[in-house]
Amino acid sequence: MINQHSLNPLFAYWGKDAWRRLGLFLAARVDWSGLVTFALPLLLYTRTLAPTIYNLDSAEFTTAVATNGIVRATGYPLYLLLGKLWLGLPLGGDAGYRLNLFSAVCAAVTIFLAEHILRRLGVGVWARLSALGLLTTAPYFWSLSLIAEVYTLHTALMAGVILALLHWAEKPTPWRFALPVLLVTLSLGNHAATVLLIPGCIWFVLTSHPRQLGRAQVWMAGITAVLLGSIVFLTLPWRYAQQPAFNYAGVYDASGSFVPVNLQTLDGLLWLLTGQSFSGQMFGYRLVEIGGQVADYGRQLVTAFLFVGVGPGLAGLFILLRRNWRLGGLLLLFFLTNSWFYINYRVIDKNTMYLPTYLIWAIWAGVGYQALLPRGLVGINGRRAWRESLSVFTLLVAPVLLAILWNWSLVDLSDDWSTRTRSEAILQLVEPDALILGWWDTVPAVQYLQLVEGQRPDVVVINRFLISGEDMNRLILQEIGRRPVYINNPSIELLNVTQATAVGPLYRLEPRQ
Amino acid sequence: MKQQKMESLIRSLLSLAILLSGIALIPFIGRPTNAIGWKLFAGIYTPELVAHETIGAPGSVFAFTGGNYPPLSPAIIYINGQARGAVTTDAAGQATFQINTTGAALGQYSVTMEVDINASATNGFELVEGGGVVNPPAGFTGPIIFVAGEDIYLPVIVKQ
Repeated sequence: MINQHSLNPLFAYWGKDAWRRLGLFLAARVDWSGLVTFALPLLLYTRTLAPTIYNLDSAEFTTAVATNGIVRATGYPLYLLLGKLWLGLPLGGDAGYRLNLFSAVCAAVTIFLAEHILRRLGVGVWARLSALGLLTTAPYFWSLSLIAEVYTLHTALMAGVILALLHWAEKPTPWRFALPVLLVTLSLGNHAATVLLIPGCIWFVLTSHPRQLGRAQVWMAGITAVLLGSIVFLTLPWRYAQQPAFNYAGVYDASGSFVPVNLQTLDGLLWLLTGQSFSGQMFGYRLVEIGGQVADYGRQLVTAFLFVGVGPGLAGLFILLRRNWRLGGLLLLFFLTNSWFYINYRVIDKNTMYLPTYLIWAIWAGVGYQALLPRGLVGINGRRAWRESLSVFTLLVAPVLLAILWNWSLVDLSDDWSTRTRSEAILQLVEPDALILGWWDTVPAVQYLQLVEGQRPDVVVINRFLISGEDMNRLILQEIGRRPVYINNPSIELLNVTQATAVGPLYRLEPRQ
Repeated sequence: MKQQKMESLIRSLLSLAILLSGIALIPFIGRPTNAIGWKLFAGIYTPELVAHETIGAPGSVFAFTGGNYPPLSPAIIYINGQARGAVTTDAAGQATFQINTTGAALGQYSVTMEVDINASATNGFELVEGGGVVNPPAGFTGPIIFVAGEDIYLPVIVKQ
């Protein structure tokens, strides 16, 4: 008798049990939990992704990547390089959208690698998915996966470093040692805060296989990895030599000329890479203020993991320290160095910088879930009684779904065109040959429209971050009779000698009559 | 057997307590409600000066709140470009002050709060005939700066 099954080659091959066999085949061959931990976060992030150029640092990174430009300290050469390669992919949308998507992919890679870390620690699938679900939906992790930024690439590299160290500790060969060293060096090229990982890495190497450091081959492999990884830093002197139109490593003088820092000298390169221009903000709080900052960070962490991740995270920290003190120490050092540095960093957007500590907390939470819940609940094997299924749903799945529902409206940027709209409005409002002076919320996005999309090349735009207040006033007073001058917020010195008229988000300055 | 069951129950309850312990923090912390976007972090670059009222009769006291300034910094208050007083911003970069218009002439007044050239914001108020006398909101505090008369020098306290 001919039926639809007999026409299907699959059924012809496997017989009437084909669906069940196919299911078993796929279950055996496909890494479902790995696939889920990559695909679901990516789906969530692409649904809420910013559709075009975003503002502040994001606009700066996008413009620099798209124009082979140079960003402010700490240079971020790996991001500039990978971003450029990524922009070459035929992904549709403008450069802003495509780089936003890059962050989403890096975030999904972070979750995927964290899943492999938890798997190595013997954490069951539901415990892994739940802990990583909370990380995926943590408001700042989610929001920074939607815009062009360096943070999710940083967490992906950090997860890679942890995984590579575990791989090395399992069987310590020189080339296995080279991998984490290479990743740390590359990661330094993405974010200088990678130095905060080095104490933990040293701890892990010294406590796991200290004798390895007595071998010349290990040192050779390590040095080779450092040299290979350091190639990425050559991006900066190379780009400097091209004299890019977009360069944030330098200053404007009172005549409006840009004086770039020479990145072909060691001094210039170190000035940029070590972030000396931000040294004033590092450890910028007085002792009496630190308690408040610690409390703020604690609040952020607790809400990031939707309250329910706090207990499992703490439990995981202590369990890991007892069971595997070497790895426990590594993660604890990563957590402490990162949290302590940013708690003491006096910048307004520091809430966006704690993502490395989120990653560690998610690993602890996974370990905590595994230890606290009955073994039958956290694994995937075997049939479940309905009560067990309900427990899995209530304790592990529901918090993640709740986090998606609660946080969606806080982070969703899928309809946020505000940066493009605002920047286009500014370029439409200003007169020909105008000079615009503004801060990060104004200038990089306007420069993106000029340098990437070719809009209004007649307008000169200067970020006030790159010019001293005194030089800016001198420049304005010198230019005010020659061309239209606009500024986002005039000082009293300027207001006393000029007339300021509001034009959109800017003021047009004119000589006082 | 009974003891085993009891131990198992205690173990389960303890695990559940640890798992859900974070929920006990909800009354003290609360759920975040602010949308995360660039405007949340743009403030540091654009100080703002908010006038709680902008029109009133002579004799009114106008309340001003400056925000997004460098923290713990002395700021000069200018009225129509003339330095008239000073405040110090708090750890969050905010400061409040009041402008007393007793004896001031009718017209438009500009008020500027400036920490330095790059941290300056201006707003204003208008004194009109026949308008009501306005006062700061209840509980509003801050040094009082006078528009009219001789310069009044207010004490400036700079926290070290």
